[in-house]
Amino acid sequence: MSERGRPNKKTKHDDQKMKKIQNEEALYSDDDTGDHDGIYFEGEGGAVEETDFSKLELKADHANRPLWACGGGRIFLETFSPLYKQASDFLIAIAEPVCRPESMHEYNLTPHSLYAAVSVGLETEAIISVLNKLSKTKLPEDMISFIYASTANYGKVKLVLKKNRYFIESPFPEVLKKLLQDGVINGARFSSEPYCGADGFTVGKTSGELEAGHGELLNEAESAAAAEEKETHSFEIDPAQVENVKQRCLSKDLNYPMLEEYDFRNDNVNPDLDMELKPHAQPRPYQEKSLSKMFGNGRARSGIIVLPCGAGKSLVGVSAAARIKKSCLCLATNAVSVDQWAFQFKLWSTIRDDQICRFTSDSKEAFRGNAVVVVTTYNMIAFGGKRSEESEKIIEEIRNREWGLLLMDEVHVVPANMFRKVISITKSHCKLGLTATLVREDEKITDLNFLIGPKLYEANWLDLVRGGFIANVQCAEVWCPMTKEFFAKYLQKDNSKKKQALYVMNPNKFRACEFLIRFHEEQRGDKIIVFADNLFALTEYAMKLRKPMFYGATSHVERTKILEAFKTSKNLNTIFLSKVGDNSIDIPEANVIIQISSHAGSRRQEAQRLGRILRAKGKLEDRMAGGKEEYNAFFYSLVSTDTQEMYYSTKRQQFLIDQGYSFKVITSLPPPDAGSSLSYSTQQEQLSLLTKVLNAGDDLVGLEQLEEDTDGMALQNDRRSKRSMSAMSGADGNVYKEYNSGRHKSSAQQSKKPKHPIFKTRFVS
Amino acid sequence: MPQVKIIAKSFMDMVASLTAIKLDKLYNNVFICEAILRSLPPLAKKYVLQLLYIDIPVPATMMEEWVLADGVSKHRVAIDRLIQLRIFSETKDRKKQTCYSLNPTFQKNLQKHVISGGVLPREPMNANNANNAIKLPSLQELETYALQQWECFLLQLINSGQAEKLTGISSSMLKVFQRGLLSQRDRDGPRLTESGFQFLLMDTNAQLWYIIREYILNAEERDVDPADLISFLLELSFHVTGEAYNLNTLTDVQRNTLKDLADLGLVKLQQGRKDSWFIPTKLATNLSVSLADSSVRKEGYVMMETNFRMYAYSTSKLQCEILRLFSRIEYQLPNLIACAITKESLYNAFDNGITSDQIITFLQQNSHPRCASRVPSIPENVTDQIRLWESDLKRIEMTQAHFYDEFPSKDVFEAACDFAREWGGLLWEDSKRMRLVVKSEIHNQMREFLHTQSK
Amino acid sequence: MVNAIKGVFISCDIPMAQFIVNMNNGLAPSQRFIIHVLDTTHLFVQPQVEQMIRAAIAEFRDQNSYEKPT
Repeated sequence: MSERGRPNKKTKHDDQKMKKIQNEEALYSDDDTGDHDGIYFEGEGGAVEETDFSKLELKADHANRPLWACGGGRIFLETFSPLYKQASDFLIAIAEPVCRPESMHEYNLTPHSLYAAVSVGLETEAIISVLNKLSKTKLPEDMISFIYASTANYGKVKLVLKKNRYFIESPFPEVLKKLLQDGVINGARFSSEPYCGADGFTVGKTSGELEAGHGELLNEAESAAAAEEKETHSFEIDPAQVENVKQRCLSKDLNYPMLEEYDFRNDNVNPDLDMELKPHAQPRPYQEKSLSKMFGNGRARSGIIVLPCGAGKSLVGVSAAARIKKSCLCLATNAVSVDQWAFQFKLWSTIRDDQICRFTSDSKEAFRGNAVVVVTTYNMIAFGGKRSEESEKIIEEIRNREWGLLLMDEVHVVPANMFRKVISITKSHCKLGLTATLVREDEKITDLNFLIGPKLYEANWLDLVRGGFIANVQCAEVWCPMTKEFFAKYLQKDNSKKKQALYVMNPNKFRACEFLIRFHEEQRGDKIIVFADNLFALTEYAMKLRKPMFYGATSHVERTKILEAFKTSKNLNTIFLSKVGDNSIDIPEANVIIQISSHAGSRRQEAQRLGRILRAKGKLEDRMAGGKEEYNAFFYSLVSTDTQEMYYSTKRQQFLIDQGYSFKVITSLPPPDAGSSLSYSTQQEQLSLLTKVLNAGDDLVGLEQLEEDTDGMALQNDRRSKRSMSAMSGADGNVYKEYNSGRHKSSAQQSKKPKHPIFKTRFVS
Repeated sequence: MPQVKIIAKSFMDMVASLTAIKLDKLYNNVFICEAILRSLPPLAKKYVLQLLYIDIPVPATMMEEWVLADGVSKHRVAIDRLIQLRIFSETKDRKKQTCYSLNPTFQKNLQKHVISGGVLPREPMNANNANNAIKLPSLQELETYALQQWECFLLQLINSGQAEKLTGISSSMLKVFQRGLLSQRDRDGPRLTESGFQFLLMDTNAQLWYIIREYILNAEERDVDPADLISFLLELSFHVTGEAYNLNTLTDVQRNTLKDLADLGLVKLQQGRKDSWFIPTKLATNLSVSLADSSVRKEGYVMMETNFRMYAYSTSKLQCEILRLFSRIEYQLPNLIACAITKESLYNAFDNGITSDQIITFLQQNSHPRCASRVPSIPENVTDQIRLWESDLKRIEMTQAHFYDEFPSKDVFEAACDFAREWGGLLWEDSKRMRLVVKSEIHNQMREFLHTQSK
Repeated sequence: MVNAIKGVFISCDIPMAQFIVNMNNGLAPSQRFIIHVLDTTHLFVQPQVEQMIRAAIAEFRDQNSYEKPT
């Protein structure tokens, strides 16, 4: 990647700050293209053909079985069946959830989901057997062959790191032989092992799955088989060649995707980190389950754990680190998040202050000791430009060290290229990715998944709500009609660049927002966050309503001040945030979110925003049905009717809707008698606002900004381009179709923030 | 359902519209009296029972005193109904005051009925009768049979190619039923009309009453006395489901009728060695119950989720066709139909004349027991959205019209406005600038009117 | 003498009226169809444009609504 020099000389601090701003803003730029709508099958006419499986044979006791499995991989699960819990645990391990509302869940069996199943120890026969047991109908032949075909090559080859040496391991020597026929792999092989076994392979044993039983679903024989120790064959390869070998195995020719496992118990080379979970750290059932998938066979598997926001993924990350007990490099998306992770490590584990350090542009704590936990941002590692001397030293350290665990937060917010870079810079034995929203792929597996690993576990949002682990949120879409004048301008062709500004600054929307804030503050004493992606709007709203705000350019110190006051002061109950508020800002006390402008169609962002208030508050009993906290969290999305905003709003909600949430439509806010108690009640005020919006420079009102200017960040260029995530991840060879509606790709509709922070970051009181 | 003219209650209107003589003849049948009593609005029922043993006319004013102030309108409705059905007759007493008294035939029969219960003109056959070795179907089998017959009939009715076999109903009879529900188109074959679509979404009992009503109205063309038919049908509704009744207890007309009813699933015909008999199904015996408009609910089978996906526990091809009216069918499993309600599928329904109310009512009435106990049984966001999509279609109203201006004087203008208003054609007016818009259909009258004004 | 023009009377909400006005303004003068803008919610337009207006509105509505792909 090329690096460009900077044109003028400012102080290093300014530059870094500028870059940081741009980094952070850009970090979250979710292009519409980057945000997968998902891959769907298109029939000939573009519509899905109706599929008729009515001739499948129903078993006699079908009423007792919880699911239907039909050809094409579609599975339906009754949630009210007595076997629901086991069935759903099983299905999440082998299939991708499509939607999981209250009564009926739908799942899809895909090659990728089966790969994930195999990587946590499920075997082909077991999968088919259990599925058959649970199914109301006889399993269709083509589904059985599909499962065979998909799992034929998966899970057969593992990359194991033992005592700092890399081994390709498999229970099937013939597979190893096949791999060795490949030139690259053969070339990477070390022949330093003493001759052992007929093919020159080292023979050893691995322990079986500790929790393969899936409850009572597998019969005894099957459980026993899974838990058995297995004989394995392996050969060693050159550590320098590991990436190449992985690539080759993945390639179409060989198609033996490798699982990565870290035998940390037998790692005598890397120094131990003595940290334990504190006694008060009690993982919840779903957290336990996710960890058991990761550590199922005594080794540490690499992969991704999917938990809703606010469900406690930090405890999962810290627990994983505490089990592995080796140096851990923890990556977060921004500096505030870094602080939080550091705090979480200290909260849940016995780690000492001298064993953990943070590495951000503001704080560069030196490493001490042989085994450490380092918390930093993706940016800090992936940054391709020139660093300060201090930073350079730290990066060197990081580069040279062998990390037991690479803990990656919010992996699906971060573009593939970024953590591809991170993974190539750092040497880690086990990679754990945490996220709330998982991108779905139906067809082939991209190496995006192989950069980290397959999905290890995914929680069910509604189940977590029912269990009182996350808050029960009422979601609503508030419809705000455009005023006559705003709408007239919106419709005019020559205002196409201002469309977003117009529908966001719609006076009726403003009034609705003001009303809601007043209602929740005064009548309920709630804590409110208002999100606005569009900086112009953010500032206008915040200043008019005299509330504090912060966004990308706001300093760390300033942000902390505002957040602290928000947490503790009775006088500060509403804050305005830009996109930066989406990730990892821990604001446990907020229970109302108002969204006045949001990024195009990003379903991830919608879910992440919701996560700001998902953290369960109060006592468990209160959160259960009938308790006083039962409906104590509110998520409002304000949309201007008859504009593109309606389209984006509906699109954004899809992920949450699939998890079982529903958005109530409210059309009567503010109440018609609110009149002059709210701003912009007169036409004159509205018209002057309109003028302001129309006169504001194009770059301020939320337009596509083209990257031909200042930043020397090659990384930025990559990220900002409109290539699809697949292209960026390098998986160009793999074929799959991405659904894009096509018609909404014009640049005007992409919301990007201004380059230059013009507005002062002032605490507006 | 305001737009649907096809309601079971209209059966009673049909009864009420019979001539006085025919109606009196009907009241000779004790079962008719009971059936009609059941169908009355509650207040009317009460009045009948109150006057049951009173032989002298009762002054209207006295009856009015029985009602509280807020019941006055119900009182009027009840009295009107009773008069319409000739159960009450209105007379004037010596003081020229209005009085009401019960129809004597009706009264006598009802009195008898109250004391001794009704005796059907036939007894169930003895199952152990050596002559015939009657093997009665179980109630479950009977119900399945009835449902199959009915569905088969409906599928054929809507001309769907999905019907697995043809009913015995003559094509001419079928055409009678199809009148109003299907429209004849030369090239494409018959298509469902707006009423046809609404018909499909109706409750089974309402559908049944519609068919029965058409059957009765058509009776005269078949040389059958409608009153006899009504009488027989109502009598049938008092038989016991599942019991066998000998055909030799019936008149010829009744026997023929029974053949048609078998095709609809109201009765099952069987033949033994010596005799033949019929077995009433629940469809028949429900006729009297549903007269009271409290329809007996089949068990619901539709589960509606918040994400607009719908799961119907059904194997019925007919139900699949019905769901297809407003949703997209995605998967058909042996005992489940998975559908999705989308804007497109709803707009399709709206195009065909189905309203959001009908769809929502259908969903509510057919709600799966698991969901039926929820409040609301259909997720609120779904019902809201269906209504919103519908109202989206109605945002613009366009009317052929004429625009008038350049009035010579305010008086002429105002006269024109009044004129248009009287004719129900005034769409818009602006008195300051003296302009108005009037429906084109009254333009000619308007023009003439204005001519007279200018004189 | 009273003047009468034949046409189509449109009654709708404010945004729709605005939409139709905008549509009208975007056409070449010879093709414009609005005869009178009566008030914020009523218009009087030339006959025979009903279909065209409905089609334009339907398209606009479709553009603003997201349907989850099947």
